[in-house]
Amino acid sequence: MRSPWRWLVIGLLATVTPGVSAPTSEQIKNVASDLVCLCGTCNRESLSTCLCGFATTERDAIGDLLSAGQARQQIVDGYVDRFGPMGLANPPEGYDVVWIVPFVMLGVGVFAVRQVLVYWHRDRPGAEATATAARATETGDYDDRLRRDLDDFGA
Amino acid sequence: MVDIGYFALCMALTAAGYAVFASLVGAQRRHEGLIRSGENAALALCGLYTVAALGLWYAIFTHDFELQYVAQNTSLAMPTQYVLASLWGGQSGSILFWGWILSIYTAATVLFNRHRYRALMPYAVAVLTGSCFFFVVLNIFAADPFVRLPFKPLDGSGLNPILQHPYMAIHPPLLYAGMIGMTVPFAFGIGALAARQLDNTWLHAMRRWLLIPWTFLGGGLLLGGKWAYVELGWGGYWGWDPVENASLMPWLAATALLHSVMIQERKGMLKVWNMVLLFFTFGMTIFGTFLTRSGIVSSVHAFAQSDVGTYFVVYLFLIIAGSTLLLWRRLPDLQAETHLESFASRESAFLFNNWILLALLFAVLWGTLFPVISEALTGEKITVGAPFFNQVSTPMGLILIFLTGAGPLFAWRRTSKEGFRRNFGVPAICAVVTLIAVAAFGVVDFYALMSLTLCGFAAGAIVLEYSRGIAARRRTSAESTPVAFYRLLTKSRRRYGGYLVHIAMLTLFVGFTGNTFSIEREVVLQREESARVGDYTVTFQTLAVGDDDSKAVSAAALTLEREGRFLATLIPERHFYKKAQQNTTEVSIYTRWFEDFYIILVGSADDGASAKFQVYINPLVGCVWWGAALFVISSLWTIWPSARDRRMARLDRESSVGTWEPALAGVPS
Repeated sequence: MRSPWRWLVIGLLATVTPGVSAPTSEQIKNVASDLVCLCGTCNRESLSTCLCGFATTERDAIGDLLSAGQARQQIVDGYVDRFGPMGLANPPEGYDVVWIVPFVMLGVGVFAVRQVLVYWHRDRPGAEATATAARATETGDYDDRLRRDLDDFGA
Repeated sequence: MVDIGYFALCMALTAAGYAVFASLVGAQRRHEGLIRSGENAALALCGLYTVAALGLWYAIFTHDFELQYVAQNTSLAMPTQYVLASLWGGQSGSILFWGWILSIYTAATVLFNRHRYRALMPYAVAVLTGSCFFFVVLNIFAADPFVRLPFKPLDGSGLNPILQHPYMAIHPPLLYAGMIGMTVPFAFGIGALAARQLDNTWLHAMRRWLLIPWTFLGGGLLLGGKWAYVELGWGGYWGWDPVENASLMPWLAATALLHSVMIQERKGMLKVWNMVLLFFTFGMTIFGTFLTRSGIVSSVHAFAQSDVGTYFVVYLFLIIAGSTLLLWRRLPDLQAETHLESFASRESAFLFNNWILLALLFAVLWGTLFPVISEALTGEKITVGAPFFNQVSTPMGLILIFLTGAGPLFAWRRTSKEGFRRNFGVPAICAVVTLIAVAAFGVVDFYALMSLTLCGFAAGAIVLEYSRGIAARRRTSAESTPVAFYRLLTKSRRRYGGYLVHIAMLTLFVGFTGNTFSIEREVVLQREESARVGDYTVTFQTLAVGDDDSKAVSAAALTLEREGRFLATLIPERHFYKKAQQNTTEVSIYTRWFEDFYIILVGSADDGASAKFQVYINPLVGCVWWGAALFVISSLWTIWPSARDRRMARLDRESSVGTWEPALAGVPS
């Protein structure tokens, strides 16, 4: 292949082969955002933002790995292999409970509030009379006067 | 002076013990002399603590490196202003500082209530001085700041360089004042239960003493955010650090309490719940302190691992057991006085407010403790980082913004359909207008759209409340609008000052939302080379290096332009502290109305020909600082006693002169 076609083929390969182009800082930071810095001096800050020497070196290493064609997950797995799961910004698979529990508690809270409201509402004395009185306070100047009185009481 | 300080600390133990004894026995025997004596002992305790703190401060200022604390936390090269901050920079000194502030709170409680809340005071003084007793014990037996070394080093290790910042000199005392101050409302709660004075009297005392530390704590948290923003160099202000979380949790609990206590005052409901919430708030301050000082969580702010954690566990257990037992015995006295008339009422809104604040608190607590729990159960160390907290807290924050707006729109007791339409109409229109305006600016992020729309809704609700109040005043007294607004704020500080706090919170939420639009770039520049980031062009001009006794400094000079117009010369720096062998960054920030251009010097070539920079464009971040300032000002406005409060205090003072009978009337024998 002495013809000019050889250079064309090489040129095309160079453009389509993964890892040939240098990764941008955004691509590096995107991968690093899945990881935390384990330098021991910062508080496991995100590897994408930490400015210590450890984080800078690791970001450079991520850049090299991206240039070499490694996928995001491969790089993350490699970091975890070296430092353990504490290197991940979020708990690894199998720790779904960490995400679920706060929202379960949110739901439990709604249920608890509902129960309290129902409990308070039940057996209220003179419900009908009170409701009529309350409706009367919804309109007219009396409402404003009541508000002012309550404000003075609470001031 | 150091020996005098240590002696004063030992005497403080005696004074605190006596104050507890005299107050409790005085209350039980209705012995006014003993009660007064207990209060005087509390004042003496404050004096002794002051002497102890001054003793340590003297050793710090005179560089008495024979003292282990001084050698570990100060150095000759430290600037004078940060030498001052060394008092609370280390474990034992900060515990002494904690006890000192608590003793000042105790003395203030005694002095301000010489003639008020007399039935509660003996018990409140016993709780406060009992807490002081615990901290003196800690200082004497577990974390003694006056321990001497067998030799006198020529120099000390110095304070952590990142803590050597003006904000850091103010931030910890504010947080301490907030955390420690929660002891006072707790003491009034215990006092009310012990004295069986469970009417609204104790609520008035508790609420004002709760607002003060709540303001300090909120202000301290926001100031800590400002410190992180300008000092830590990662472009943000809140990293969900365990120690930050430890301060946020009691603030959330106290916020819930400040709202739910209104239901008790107006409707006589939630009496048990409010007590539980009060105990929980105080418990969270002690738990947070335990987290910070025991070494069980990893944090940039945490103190070194030590055995004070055991003391805190015992103290926390005593607090929980004691307060639960007392509450259990008083349950019959804490029955609700009224019933709920309608689900569509302000009572319900406040209950949902409590729900979302506590759900948020739980999520923060869960995320903070999960690594500890997980390691204990599985032996595997994992990290629960900022992504978890951001993803969990964002939807809860949105609900909180909605409730901030919706809560005041509900009437007490019942909101009719007509009232609902009348109250929600304007805020709903504000929300729609905001949504259209934000979408027109090209915002497509769901959470950002929701957040800003809900902020518009809540702002509309607050404006509606003010306009109605102003209109009502103008109808009755023919005042001009500005005068009516001013009178509204002064006559009803609690309600309309509270709305100002809500505006501050909305401003903060707008600032938080700005995070969504942040631009972040890392650039490597040769001299005279430019890079375009967003609408800005930044050009690296030169790099200078320098050296002094304590640190080596690299400083880069860059020019910043926008649309061809020169804006500023930016000088980000990098410091290397020789003694600590630690690098720090000094960021350079160009602030515009709606955004910050934030640049960090990451590193440079040895010859200074090129340098690497981290650049952030942070839209709306100014709202966080404006919101913080408004939060502090509006909270102080709300706390400040009205003319009516001052009149009532004077009447209390005049009516109780020469007699102790009213004071003891409510004390059970």
